[in-house]
Amino acid sequence: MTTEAGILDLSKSFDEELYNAFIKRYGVDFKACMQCATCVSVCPLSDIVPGMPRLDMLLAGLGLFDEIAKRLSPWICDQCMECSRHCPRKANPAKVLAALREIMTAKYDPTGITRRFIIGRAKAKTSKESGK
Amino acid sequence: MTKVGVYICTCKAVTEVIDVNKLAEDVKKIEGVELVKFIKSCYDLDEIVKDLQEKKIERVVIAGCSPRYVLDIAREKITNAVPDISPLWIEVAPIREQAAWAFRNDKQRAQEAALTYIKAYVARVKVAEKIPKEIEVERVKRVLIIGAGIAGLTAAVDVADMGIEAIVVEKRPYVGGKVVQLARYFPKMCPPYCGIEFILGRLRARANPLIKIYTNAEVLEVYGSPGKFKARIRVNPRYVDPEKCLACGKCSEVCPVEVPNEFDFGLSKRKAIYLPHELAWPYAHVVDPNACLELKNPGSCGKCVEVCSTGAINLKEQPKEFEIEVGAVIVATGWEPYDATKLEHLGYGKYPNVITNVQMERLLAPNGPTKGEVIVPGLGRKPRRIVFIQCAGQRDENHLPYCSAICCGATVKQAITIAERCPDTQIYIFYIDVRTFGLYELFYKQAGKYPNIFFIRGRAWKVEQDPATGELIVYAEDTILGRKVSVRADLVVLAVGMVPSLRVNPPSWYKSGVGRSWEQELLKIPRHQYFVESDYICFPMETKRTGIYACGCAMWPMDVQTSVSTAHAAAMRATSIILGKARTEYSYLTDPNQIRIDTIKCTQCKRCTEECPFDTYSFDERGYPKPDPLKCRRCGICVGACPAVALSLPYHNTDLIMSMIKSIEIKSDKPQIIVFACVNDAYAALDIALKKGKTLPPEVELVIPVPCIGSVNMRWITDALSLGIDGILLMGCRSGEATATQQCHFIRGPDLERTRIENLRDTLQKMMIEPERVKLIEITLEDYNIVVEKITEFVEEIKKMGLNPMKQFAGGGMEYGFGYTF
Ligand code: SF4
Ligand code: SF4
Ligand code: SF4
Ligand code: SF4
Repeated sequence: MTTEAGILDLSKSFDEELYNAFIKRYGVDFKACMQCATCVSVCPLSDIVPGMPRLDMLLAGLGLFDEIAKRLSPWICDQCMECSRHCPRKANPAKVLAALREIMTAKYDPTGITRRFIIGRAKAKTSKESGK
Repeated sequence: MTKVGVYICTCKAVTEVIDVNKLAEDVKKIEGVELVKFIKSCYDLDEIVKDLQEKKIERVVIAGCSPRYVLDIAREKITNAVPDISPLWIEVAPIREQAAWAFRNDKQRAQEAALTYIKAYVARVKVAEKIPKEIEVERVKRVLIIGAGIAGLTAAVDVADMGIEAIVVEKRPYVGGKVVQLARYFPKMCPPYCGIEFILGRLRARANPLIKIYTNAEVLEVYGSPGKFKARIRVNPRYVDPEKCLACGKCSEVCPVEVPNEFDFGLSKRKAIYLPHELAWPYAHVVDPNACLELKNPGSCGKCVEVCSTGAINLKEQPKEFEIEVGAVIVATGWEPYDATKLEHLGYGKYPNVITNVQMERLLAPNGPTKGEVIVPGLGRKPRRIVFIQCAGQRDENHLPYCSAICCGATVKQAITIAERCPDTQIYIFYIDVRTFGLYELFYKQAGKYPNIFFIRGRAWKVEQDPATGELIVYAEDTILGRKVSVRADLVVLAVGMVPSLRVNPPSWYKSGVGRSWEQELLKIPRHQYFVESDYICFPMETKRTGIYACGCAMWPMDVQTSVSTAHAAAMRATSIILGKARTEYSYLTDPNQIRIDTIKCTQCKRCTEECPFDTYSFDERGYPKPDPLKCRRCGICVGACPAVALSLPYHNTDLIMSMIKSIEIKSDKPQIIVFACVNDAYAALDIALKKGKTLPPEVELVIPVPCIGSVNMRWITDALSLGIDGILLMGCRSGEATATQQCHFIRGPDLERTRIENLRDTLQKMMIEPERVKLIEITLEDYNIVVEKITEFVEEIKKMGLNPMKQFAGGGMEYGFGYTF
C-alpha cells in the first residue's frame, strides 16, 4: 500500500497472515540476509529480473508480499542453487524463492485449495522457538 | 684535555669500501684522539671497557654501523662496567651506512666521509657532559582516580594490586557509573551490576586497605609535578551517615518532595531523600540538597530526621575539603548521552513516546520504572510497534561527527530483549550501516533471525504524529528498495551517541604551568577532535599532561569490554611512572636528561612555554620560564624553539650540534649539504635505503639525527649557513592537524618547524642568503624507497643555486655570528 505522497507505508503493507505462514513453514534463517548481493552476482537470471534473489529476500523479510507479487523471480527461478551455494550468511535464497512460489500460489489460487494446505491457520512460531 | 678513544669496526661492510688503515692514520691526527683501535664488530666492547677502566681514555667513539642499532647497547653495557663515565661520552659514528654504503661506488668520497663522521662525533663527545645513568626522585605511592565507574574501579583494583594506594573520587552518591543504569551487557546479556559486585566484593575494592573511595566528592584542583602532584578534593555532604543508615526507606516515605529521578533519566520520580538504586553502594540514602525543603529553608520540614530510627540523618553536615599528594592521576570520568532535545526533527521532547536508548535501558532494567516491562510512557501499555533510529545525531556534522561505536550493538541488544519479552511487538531498526564490530557481528546476525525484528537501511529524517490515531510515523528512504518508506509506531527510540566527558568538558581541575589551562588549549580545537591523548595510537592512555592518564569512555566512545581493558592499561602506565626504574621512554621521572634554561641568555620571549607540547613550563619569580623536568618528555622542541638558544637537554643541545657542524672542513669549490633527520623516522628510513643499495650524492656532508624535527634550532641553521654550508635539509614526519593525519609522536614537531623556517626567510634574505637553501620535507619510516631521491632533488636545487656566498668568509672564525635575533 502506498500513501498519497508516494511513500510506502511498511506497517500497513505488512501482510501478517502470509508472513506468519511463511515463517512457520520455512523458518527464520533467511532473515539473516545482510543484502550483500552475492546471490545477485551469481544468479544467471538476475539480468532478466534485477535484484533477483536479493530483493525477494528483503521483501519477504519485511512481509511485503504485495511487492513480491509484482516480481517475476519466484516464477522464473530454475533452482540452480548457485545463490545458496555462495550466500555468506547461509540464508538459502533458492529455498526462499521456492517457498515464495508456494506462498504466492496459495495467495492467488482462486480455488482456495492451495491456500488451505499452505497457509491454513498457521501462526508464527514464537521467537523463543524460532529465533537465534 | 679530554682523551678520546676511537674504535673502528672492521666488519666486511666497512673494509670492502674503506681503507681502515689509512683511516686510522688520519683519525690519529684529530685533536683529542688519544688512541685508535680496530674492533671486530660494533658489539665487541671488551677492549673499550678495558681502556676506560685503565683510564687510557675518557670518551669513546665507535666507528661502525648506525647508532640506531648499537648506541643504546654500547651505552648500557659500557656504563654498567664503568659506572663513573657518562652515557653521553659514548657515541657511534655511522661509517658503515653514511660512508661505506652511502658512497659505495666512490671509494675516495667514502674514505673522506668516514673521516668526516669520526671528526664530527669526536667533536661531539668532547663537549658532551657528565650525567648519571639514572636519577632518584621522590614519588608518592598513591594514585588519584577520578570516577568510580567500571573503568575507575577496575583501575583502582589494579593499582592496589601493585601495592600502590588508590584514591577514588566519585561525584555521584554511589559507585558503578553508567553501567549500573544499563539493563544488560551485550553480547553476554548478563546483568551489569554483577560486574560491579564482583569488583567491590570478590576483588575487594570495598575492603581493600589500599583503596579509598569517596562518593559525593569532586576534585577541585590538581597541581604540582608528576610523582608528587597535589590534589584538592571536596567531599560534599550526603546528610546521611552510611554507617548508620539501614536503608529502611522510612525517610523517603515521609519526604514530601518529589523530583525527576536522574537514575531513570527522568522516567520516574524520586524523593528528596532517596536510595539511588536498589543495589547502590554505599547502600544508604542520600539527601538531594537542591530538592530538600529543610536545607533550602531551615525549619520548614525535617520530617525524615524525625522518623529515622538510627539517627543517621544529619542535615547540618558540612562539606569537607582536603589536600593529598599523589604520584599520578587516572581520569575515568565516563560519558554522557548526547542531548536528544537538539534532535527536533525526531520529535524528542515533543512526543512523550519518543525516548532515547539510555531511557530504553531503564525501561528494560528490572530495577527500572516499569520493573523491566516494556510499557510505552504516556500510553501505559505494551507497544505494538517500536522503531529504533540509529545514528540519532552521530555521523552528523551538525551534532556528533563521529560514530559512537556502541549504539548499533546496544540497539541489537535492546531489540533482542524486547523481541523475547514481547513476541507480538514488531521492532523496526532504521540504520545507515550496522556497525557491530568484531564478534558483535554474530550478535547482529542473531537479531536478524527474530521474526519480529526488521532492519531498514535508511536514515530516519522525520518523526511525526498522526493526528487521527495519535501514532508516531517515522519517515526515511529505504536505500535498498530505492523508495521512501514510513513506519507507524507507538514507541520511537533514538539511539543517541556517547559524548566522552574529556572531549566535551575539558578538565578544569588541572592547573597548567603557564596560567593557560588545559581547558583553554583544548577549546581551540573543534569539540569532537579534542586530542586529550598524547598519541591516539602509540600512547593512547597518556594524556598530553605527564603523569595524567585517561581510560574508558572519558576518552572516546567504547564498549564496556574496551573500557575495562583501557582501565588496566591506564593503571599500568600510572604505576609504571611511580615504580618505573628502567630507562624507558616512559620513565620520564628518572631520566637524567633534564631540560635546563640559561637565564642569562633567555630574553623572556615565552616561545618555549607556547611550543612545549607537554605543558612543562611555568614562570619563576623573575618572570623567566621555569621548566619542570618531571613533566618533560625529552622531545627537544623547546630547544629548537628558543631564539636565544637558552635551552638545553644534556643529550640534545647547541653545543653538541654545533660542535659537529663546526668540525666540517669547508670547501670553497663544491657545495656541501647537511641533513637533519628525526631519529625515529627519517634517519631510520635513510639507514634502510642505504642498506638496500641506494647511494647519496657526494655533496651530502653530514646527516645528523635529532629527537624530533621540531628540535632543530634556527640558530644552528643560520650559523651553519654563515660557516659556508650550502644547503640544509630537514626531514621530519607528516604534519597535520591534531586529527588522523598527524603523525609526530610529540604532537606537532614538523608543524612548528615549518613555521619557524617560514619565519626565517626574512633573516636569510638580510644575510644575502637564498631562503631556499633551507628546506623541510616529510619523510616517514616507510619512505625508504624515496628518501634518497628526495635528498638528491634538494642537492640538485642547491647546485643550481650555486655556492653559498658565505663560503668566501669560511674559516674566518664565524661563530654564532649571524644569529637572527640580533
Ligand atoms: S541472500 Fe545471501 S547472498 Fe543474497 S544478499 Fe542475502 S546474504 Fe547476500
Ligand atoms: S527534611 Fe528534606 S529530606 Fe527530610 S523529609 Fe523534609 S524535604 Fe524530605
Ligand atoms: S624537551 Fe619537549 S617536553 Fe621537554 S620542556 Fe622542551 S618542549 Fe617540553
Ligand atoms: S624561548 Fe628561550 S628566550 Fe624565549 S622565554 Fe623560552 S628560554 Fe627564554
